[in-house]
Amino acid sequence: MKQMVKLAALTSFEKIINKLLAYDPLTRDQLANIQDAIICIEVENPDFVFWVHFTEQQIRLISEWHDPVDATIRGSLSSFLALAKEQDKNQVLMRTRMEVAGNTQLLTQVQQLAAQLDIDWEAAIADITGDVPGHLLASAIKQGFGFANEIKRSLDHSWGNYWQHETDTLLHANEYQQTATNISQLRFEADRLEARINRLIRHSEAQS
Amino acid sequence: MTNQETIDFGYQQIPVADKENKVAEVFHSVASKYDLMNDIMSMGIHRLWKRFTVELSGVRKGQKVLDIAGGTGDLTAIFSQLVGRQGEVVLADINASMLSVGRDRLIDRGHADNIQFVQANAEALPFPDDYFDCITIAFGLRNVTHKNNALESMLRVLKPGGRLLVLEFSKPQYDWLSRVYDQYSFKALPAIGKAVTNDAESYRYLAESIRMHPNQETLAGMMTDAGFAQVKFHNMTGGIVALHRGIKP
Repeated sequence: MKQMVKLAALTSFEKIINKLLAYDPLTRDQLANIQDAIICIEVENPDFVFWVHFTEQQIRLISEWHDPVDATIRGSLSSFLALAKEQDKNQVLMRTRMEVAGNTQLLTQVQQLAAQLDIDWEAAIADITGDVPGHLLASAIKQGFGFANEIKRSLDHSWGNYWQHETDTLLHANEYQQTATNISQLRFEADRLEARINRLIRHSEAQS
Repeated sequence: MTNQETIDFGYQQIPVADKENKVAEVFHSVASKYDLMNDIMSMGIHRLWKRFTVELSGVRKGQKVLDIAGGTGDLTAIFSQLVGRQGEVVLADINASMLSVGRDRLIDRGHADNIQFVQANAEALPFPDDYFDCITIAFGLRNVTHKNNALESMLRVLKPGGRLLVLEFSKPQYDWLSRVYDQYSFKALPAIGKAVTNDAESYRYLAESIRMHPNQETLAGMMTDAGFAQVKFHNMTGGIVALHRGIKP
């Protein structure tokens, strides 16, 4: 019964993905570049495994696969969510200690496709509501998102100023970047110094 | 085998020679409303059973697939997309009415360029040896007169390493489910069949033929005896349906 539930869930999710892909024909057409590739996704806590198969124009989500795969990604659910949400995917992979095996070039291609995904939401809404209501609704949603983004940007700016200038609690981003660079440089130089000292010790031990 | 020998047709015993025609009559009768009845009888779950079959088939681009008793072409349509233009899918059915409905439906939906339609008996498949990468038979094996001959014929046309997938009604794994399923099969199904296709008898045969079909372990043994290796089965929906998979060594 569990298998059927998993199958039903993946079927529904696959339908949604492919319907959305239809509203970004450019990305959908580029699936042909990776067609027939299979990626295994192993989620931990809760444990859940499924496979993604790229066909010429669609994506299949598979509940059970007994053959070799091109690549495997393993990690916790939170790390997969972070991977989906955050812009800097490499940073997420490093930070969350996700395991990647197999054809990493394929994963880079998939990552690039995901990054360029640009769904025509207005067309998607218009297909359900009709052209005029679709346009009005999409405009309203766009305005709503624009307004929300403006508020978020303004709040971020105000809070940033407050913590940096009023309370002197936080560093400015540029200052942080400079400090982080200096620390990296220091660590690098310390590593080199340690290596030189070790070499000297080995050298002196060999002479004595 | 003499003409006096009998075989099951649902709960009836009929002369072996008559079974093919009797089964053909059933499917001629229900062909036009076959898909609708499948959706009603299984409450749409047959789509998930078939989807799981496709998953376990492991079919990839460029492969050759034979869909025996393919009926209205549900599996063929999916395989056609998976194998692409370099691949080939053969939709085979012994029943001309079912094949005709399947062919029209697939062509109407734009699946045609890599599909062949063949009227064929599963017991004597008209294909070369070692030809297909995968063979499926979904809800068809229980209607075949000589199942062992059919399994041997499938083994012959499969490539070494090729897979046979048999999707078929089987034995429920829980007593309570068996009781509910019996009530549903023998009372509700013929009534639904009467209402939708004006044919209660065909659906009474369906319920009886399911009970006469070998259970999971027996069918796995038959596949092994026919020469398949690594035979395994997966129960679905509590064993109401089972998917058997075997590999040609």
